[in-house]
Amino acid sequence: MMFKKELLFFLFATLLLQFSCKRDLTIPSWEADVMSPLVSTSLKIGNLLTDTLVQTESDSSLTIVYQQDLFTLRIDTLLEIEDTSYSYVAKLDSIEITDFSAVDSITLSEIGTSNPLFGFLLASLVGDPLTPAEISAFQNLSFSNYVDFSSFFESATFNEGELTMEITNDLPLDIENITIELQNASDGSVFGSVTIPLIEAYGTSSDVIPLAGQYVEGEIIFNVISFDLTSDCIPVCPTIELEDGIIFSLTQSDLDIESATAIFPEQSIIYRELETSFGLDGLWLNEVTVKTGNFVFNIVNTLEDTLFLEYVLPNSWDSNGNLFRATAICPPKSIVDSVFTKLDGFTLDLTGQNLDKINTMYHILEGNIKYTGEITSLSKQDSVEVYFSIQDIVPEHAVGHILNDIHAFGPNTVDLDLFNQISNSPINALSFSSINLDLEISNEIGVNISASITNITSTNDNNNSSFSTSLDPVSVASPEDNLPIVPLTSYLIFPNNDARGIIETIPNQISYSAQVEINPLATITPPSPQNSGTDFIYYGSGISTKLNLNIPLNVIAQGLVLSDTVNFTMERNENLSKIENGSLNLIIDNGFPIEANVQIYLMNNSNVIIDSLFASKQNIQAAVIDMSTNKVEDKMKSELFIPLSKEKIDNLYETYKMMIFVDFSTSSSSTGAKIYSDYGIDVKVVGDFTYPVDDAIK
Amino acid sequence: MKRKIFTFLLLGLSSLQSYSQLNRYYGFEEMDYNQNGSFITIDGGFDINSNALTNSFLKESSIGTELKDLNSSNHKSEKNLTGYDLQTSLVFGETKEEFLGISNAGYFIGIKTRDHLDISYTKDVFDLIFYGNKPFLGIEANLGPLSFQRIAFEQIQFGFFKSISNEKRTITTALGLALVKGRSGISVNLSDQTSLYTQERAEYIDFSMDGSISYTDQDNNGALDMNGIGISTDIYTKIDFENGDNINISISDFGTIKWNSSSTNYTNNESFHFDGIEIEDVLTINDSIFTDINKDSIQNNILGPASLSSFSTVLPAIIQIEGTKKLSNDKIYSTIGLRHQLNSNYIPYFYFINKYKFSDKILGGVKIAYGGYGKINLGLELSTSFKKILIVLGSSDVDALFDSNGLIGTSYYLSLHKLF
Repeated sequence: MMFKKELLFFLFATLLLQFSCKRDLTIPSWEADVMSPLVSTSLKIGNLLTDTLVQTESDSSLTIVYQQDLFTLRIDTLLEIEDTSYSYVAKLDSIEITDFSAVDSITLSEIGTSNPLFGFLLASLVGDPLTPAEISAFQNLSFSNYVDFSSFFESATFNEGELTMEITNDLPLDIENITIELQNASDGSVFGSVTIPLIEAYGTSSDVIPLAGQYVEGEIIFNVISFDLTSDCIPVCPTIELEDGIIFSLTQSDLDIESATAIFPEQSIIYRELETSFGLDGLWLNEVTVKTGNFVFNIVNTLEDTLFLEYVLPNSWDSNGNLFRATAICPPKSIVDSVFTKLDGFTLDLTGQNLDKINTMYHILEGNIKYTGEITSLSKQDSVEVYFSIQDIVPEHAVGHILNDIHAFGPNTVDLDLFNQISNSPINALSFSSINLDLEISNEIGVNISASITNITSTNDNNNSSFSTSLDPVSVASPEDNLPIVPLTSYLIFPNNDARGIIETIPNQISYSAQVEINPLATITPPSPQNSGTDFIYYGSGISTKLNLNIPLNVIAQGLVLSDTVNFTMERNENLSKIENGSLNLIIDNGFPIEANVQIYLMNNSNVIIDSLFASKQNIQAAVIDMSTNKVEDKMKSELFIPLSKEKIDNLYETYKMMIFVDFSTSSSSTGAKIYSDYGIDVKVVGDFTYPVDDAIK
Repeated sequence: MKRKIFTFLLLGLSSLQSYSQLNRYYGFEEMDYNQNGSFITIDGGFDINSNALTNSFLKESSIGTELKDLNSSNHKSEKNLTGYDLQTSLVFGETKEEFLGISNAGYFIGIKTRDHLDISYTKDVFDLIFYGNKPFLGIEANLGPLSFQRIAFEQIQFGFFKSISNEKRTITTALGLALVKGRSGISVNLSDQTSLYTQERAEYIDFSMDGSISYTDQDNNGALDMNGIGISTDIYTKIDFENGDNINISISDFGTIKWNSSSTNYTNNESFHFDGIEIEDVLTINDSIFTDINKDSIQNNILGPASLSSFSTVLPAIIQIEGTKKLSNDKIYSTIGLRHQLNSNYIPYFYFINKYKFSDKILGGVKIAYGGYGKINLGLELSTSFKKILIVLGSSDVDALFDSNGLIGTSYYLSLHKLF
C-alpha cells in the first residue's frame, strides 16, 4: 500500500515536470539602429540606350545609331498567279478496234451438199466432159458459210466504213446471177447484200458493202442466195472435179465506230492542246519558277474501261531536266478526286505554244485506254469529265518585263520610340553638335526604281512642336540576278538644318508621304518582242526604306526631361513591415558631366499618384570635366534620402507603377558634353532603419 | 502568459538536484535520509546572472518582454559573462539495511532536465546586438573573443549509495549514471580576429570571422525531440561528523552529448565584403531588392557554406565543495562552499551561508556569494519540515529586489522532499 502511494506520487510528479518544461528560451524584443548597403548597381549609357543603339568610336566617344523602318513595297505581291481551273467534258474522239478480214472457200462437193439434186448429178459427172444439157441443169444453186470475226469484236455499230468482198471463181464454169447477203449470225439480220451478174470461169469479182449505220456482229453468215453455173462449151464443154470451188474474202476499211463491244487495243481517246493566259498587271513574264504550287486532277469516267490521263507542260522543266508531267488513273465508271502533283521547282514557260507570247502557258491533256484482253463496250456517247487546276502558285523567281508603274505611300505616321523617355522635354532642351539623318532605299527587284519623299514631318505631341521638309527623287539601279540577291542602295540625305529640325523637336512620331516609281526609264510603248524581257523578281524581294539616324553623343541639354513609368510590385514583407522608421539613402557617384534632378512618384493600380519617393526633388551633381583631358576623371558623389515612414511603406505596398522624372542639364559650355563609353553612374541603396528585434531573429 | 507564470513558479527553484541534494538540507531530525525507507524528491531551480547585465535587463530578457532601458546596463568590460540555468529533477530512492548484499546501502532512480546557456562576449557584441551597427559607422566592432553555448537535455539516471559509519563520522557515497537525451545544442566560438566594420555611410560592410558555429536542428527542439544522445555521471560524498558538522563534495552532469548528423556546422576564417546586392537593371525595380536580402542569403555570405554533420558537446559539469559547522545550541549552522561549472564561462562561485533554527519545524538562512556569472549576491532561504516532508524555498539574489539596476542576477529554487 505504501509502495503504491509512492509510485502514484512519482508518476504524477514526472508528468508535471515533462509538461511544464518550457519548449525554448523566450527571446525578448528591442530596437536596433541598422545601416546596411542593400543594393548596388552601375549604369552606363548602354543601360539607358540598348547596345544596338550605341556605337563606340575609336576615341571611346559614343554615337547613337538608330534605324526606323518607314515603308516597304513587296513587288512579289504583284506577282500573284491566280488559281486556274479547267473543265473538259467530252465524248470519245474515236473508237478503234483491231483491223479484221477473212478468207474462205467452198468446193463443188460442198455446194452439192447444200443443193441435193446438183449433188446427185455431180457424182456422175465428175471426170467426164460435161454436156450442154448437163450444164443447163446447174441453175439456182445456193450455199451459206459462217465467217467468224469475234476475235476482233463481239459487235459494233458503224458510223462509217465498208467491207470489201472479193470472190474468185476457181471453176471452169462461169458464175452468173449471184446474189449474196451478209447476215448477223444471231438473228439472221442482213447488214449487207450484193448481186453480181457474171464472174467468168477462173475470174474474180470485187464489191464493196457499206457499213455506215450498220450493226454488225462478230459472227456473220456469208449467205449466197442463188447463182447459176454456165458455159458456152466452146470449143468443148469443160470437165469438173469435186475439189473445184469458189474462194471469197471479206476485208474492212475506213471504219468509224459509233459503239462496239470488243477487246479494244490501246488507243488514245482524248487529246487536247491548250493555251492559257494569266492576267498579271504590269508584268510581261517569260517564265516563272514555282516555289510552291500544285496541279490537281478531278475525273469522272463513265467508260467501261480504265482511263489513263496525262497532263504535260511542254517547255516547263525542273532543275534536273524533268519535264512537268502529271498523270492520273480513273477506273471504269468511277470518280477520282484531288490527285495532286507538286509544281515546286519547275520553271513554267509562259511564251505559249509557239514561244512568242507572254504570260501564256501551253499545256496538253491526253487520255488513253490500254489493251486489257478483256471484252468491254465503248460508245462515242460515253463521256469523260476531266477537271484540272493549277493551285496555290507561289513564284520563286519570275523573268520578263516589269512595266513602268508608280506607287504612292502615305500620308502615314510611325511612332518613334527613340526619344520616348525624354519626349516631355521643352522645345530646345536638347541640342547635338551634329546630326546625320538620311533615308535609305534598298532595291531587291531586277529593275531600276526611283524614290522621293514628298513630305516628312517630325512631331512631338508633348511639347506641340513639329518640323516638315521634303526630299527630291533618287534612283536605285537594278541588282544582279544572282542569288543571294545583293540589294542596291541609295540614300536621300537630309541637309543639316533639316536633320536638326527633325531631331531637335524630340519627336515621338514621324509622318511621311512618299512615291516609288518602278522602271522609270521605260517607254510608254511596250517593248518588242514581248518576251524579250530580262527584268526579274524573287520571292520576298521588294523595295524597303529606312530612316537612319547617326548622332555623335556630344550633347547640350538644358532641362531635358526624362520620364518613364516602370512597373513595380512589392509583396507584403513581415520584416519590412516591422520597420518603425528610417530611410533609404541613395549614394550616387555620377560619372556623367550632366547634372540631374530626380523625383519618383508612386502610382496605384488606377494610375493615380499616391506618394513620392523623395520628400522633394533631389539633385545629382554633374561630374567635373578635367580641362586638360576634356574628359571626366572623377565621379561626383551625391546622397539622396528616401524617408521610410510606416505610411510610406504602406504606400509602397499599394504601388503598381513608379513614374520617374529626371531633368538633365549640361554645363553652360556651348560645345556641349561629349559622352564616352567609360562614363557611368554608380548607385548604392543604403538602408537606415530602426528595426525591432524579436522572435524573428531566431 | 499563464503558462509562463506557472512554469516560472514551479521551476524557478533550487539549483541543486538529484541525490546530492538529499543531505544538503539539515537541521530537521525527522529528515534523516540515512534511515531505512524510501524517499521522493522534487528539486528545481532557475538562475540567471551576469557580470555585465543588470537585474532588470536579465528579468526582461528571461521573460521575453520588451527591453526598455538598455543604457543602464553595465557592459563596459571587454569580457562580459552571462549565464543561465534551468534545472529540474525528480528522484525516487530507497535506503536499506542491505542492498545487493551491501549493508547500509540503497538505490535511486530519477529524471532530470537542464537548460543551460552561457556566453562570454565583448562590449562591442552587446552594443552591436542591442543598438545595431549605426553607432559603429566608421568604427571597427570587435566581436571576438566570443564563446557561447546553449545546451538543453533530459536525463534518466540510476544510481546507488552506501554509508559507512563509525563512532566519529558517517561517510555516505553515491554514484549515479545517466543516459542523456540531447534536445538542443548551440556552440559558437569566435576568436579575437572576428570583427565587423561599417563604412561611415554604410556603403559597405566588412565582416571578418575566425571561428566556428555549430547548432542542432532548431525547428525540432521540443521536450519530446531528440537531437543527440550521451551519458553522464554524478558522484557525491558526504561526511557527517559526530558533532554535527559535515562536508559535502559532489560532481554532477559529468559527461558528453554527441549531436546527430542533422546538425549545422560552420567553420570560417575569412572576410566578407558586402556592398549591396548587385542588380543588373535598375530600371526594373521590384521587391526583389528587399526579398533578396533575407536572413539566409546574408547568413550564407557571411558564414560560408554550411555542412551537416554531428558534433559533440562536453556537458557543463558542476563541482561543489562545502563544509558546515554546527554552532551553539543547535540553532546556528554556518556553511562555506565553492561551486564551479566546468566547460563553460563560469568563474568559481564562493558562498557563505548562515542558518538559524527558529523552531523544530522552521529554519532560515542568509547567503552571501561571489562568482559564477555575476558578482556579489545576497541570498535567503526558508525551510520547513513536517510529517517527514521538507519544503525549501530560497533565492541566491534577493538583493535584486532592492536594486533592479544592479549587476545582480535572478534565481529561485524550491525543493520538495518526502521520506516514507
